[in-house]
Amino acid sequence: MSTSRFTGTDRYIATDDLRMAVNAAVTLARPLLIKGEPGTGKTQLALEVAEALGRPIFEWHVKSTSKAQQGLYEYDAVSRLRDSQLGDARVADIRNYIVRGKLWEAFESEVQPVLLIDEIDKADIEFPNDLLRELDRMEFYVHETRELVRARHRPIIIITSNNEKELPDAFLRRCFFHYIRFPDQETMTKIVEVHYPNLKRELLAEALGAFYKVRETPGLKKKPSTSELLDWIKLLLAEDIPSEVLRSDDPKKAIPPLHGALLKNEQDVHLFEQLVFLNRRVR
Amino acid sequence: MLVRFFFELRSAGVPVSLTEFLSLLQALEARVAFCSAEEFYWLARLALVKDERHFDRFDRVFAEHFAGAERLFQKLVAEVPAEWLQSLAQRLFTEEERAKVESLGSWDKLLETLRQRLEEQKERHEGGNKWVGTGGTSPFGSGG
Repeated sequence: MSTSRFTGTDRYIATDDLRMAVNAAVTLARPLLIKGEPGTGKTQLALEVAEALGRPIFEWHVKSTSKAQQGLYEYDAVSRLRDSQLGDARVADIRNYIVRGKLWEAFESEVQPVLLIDEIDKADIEFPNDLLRELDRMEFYVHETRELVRARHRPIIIITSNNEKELPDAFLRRCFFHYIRFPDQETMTKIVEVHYPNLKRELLAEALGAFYKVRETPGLKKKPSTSELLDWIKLLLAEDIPSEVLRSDDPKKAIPPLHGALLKNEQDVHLFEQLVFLNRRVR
Repeated sequence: MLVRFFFELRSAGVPVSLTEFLSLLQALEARVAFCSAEEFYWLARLALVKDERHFDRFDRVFAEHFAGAERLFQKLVAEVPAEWLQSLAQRLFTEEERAKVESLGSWDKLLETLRQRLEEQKERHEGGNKWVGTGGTSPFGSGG
């Protein structure tokens, strides 16, 4: 097994603590649970790890209706019944009706894969617990075919959560945990530079300043995140807005242009405009 | 020393289990972090704390516990008796080295300088203390 260390990729800036978290999880073969504000690159991390280490990736995007069993396999009894009524020969082998889940696919991989379990908190509370046994032992039993499926290589398991639900203790104890903090200005500069390498320094500095100021507005329902910042910069470039316009010294221009890209919630836009208006009156 | 740290975390309200503690020891054995105090901090946090709301508590216990260890070390150094150092020097140092020491002042001065340097380091270290929640700006702390 290659023990190459993860240091981020060209397009993904990983802070030192995140790198440590990934390497620790890989070295000790423990699942890595990632939490953080929406838009901080939790899902992206798994893809980048797979790319950096050169491994295949299996993505399981969990929904509210997801059940742990689906990660293993599902038995399509309805199709089998229909086929038997039509006299289809395939009915004879039950294996034709076993639909493999992401865990099974990951277990079958010839090379150690990355398994992403995305937004695990979307499913119901029992979901993580239902997976515990399989995550520990890396094997499961298929009742219909009486076979035991074992992992060829222990996958690198990356689990993301949006913090919508509390996860059970027994599950948490088995994972390493990393919280991706919202990038500070220095890290954010690097992130923007990766996406917009030719961006003028002044525009970048002014845009970041305005962006963090908007984030600091008290009472926002949804603070703008990295993806919104990148979209906003794209718009600024497309509209050819010069950096002087972004300088917030001028009270008349305190609302950044195209702020609809940053604040997606109507209430937040109102709140922001109100605060700017109040500010103006105070001066 | 780490066992005491484990119990201090628990009394501070960070629900660390024995299995998690053992996983940290495993990781240390596998040399996941071995060079820097910062790496050790991240590794310990990664293995022991599973809820970001406990980060502040962890930081406090960590800072107290490991600052304590540093203080102990400094105390040990400060208490090395001058005569002991001198006799050691007579045995191990060459003529030139002894002369060099004399040029720096006396042995007492040398010890004093060493103590000062350690103090400075301690201050610098505390001044640059990254992991103690600074002024409640942590988004998931009690002050944040």
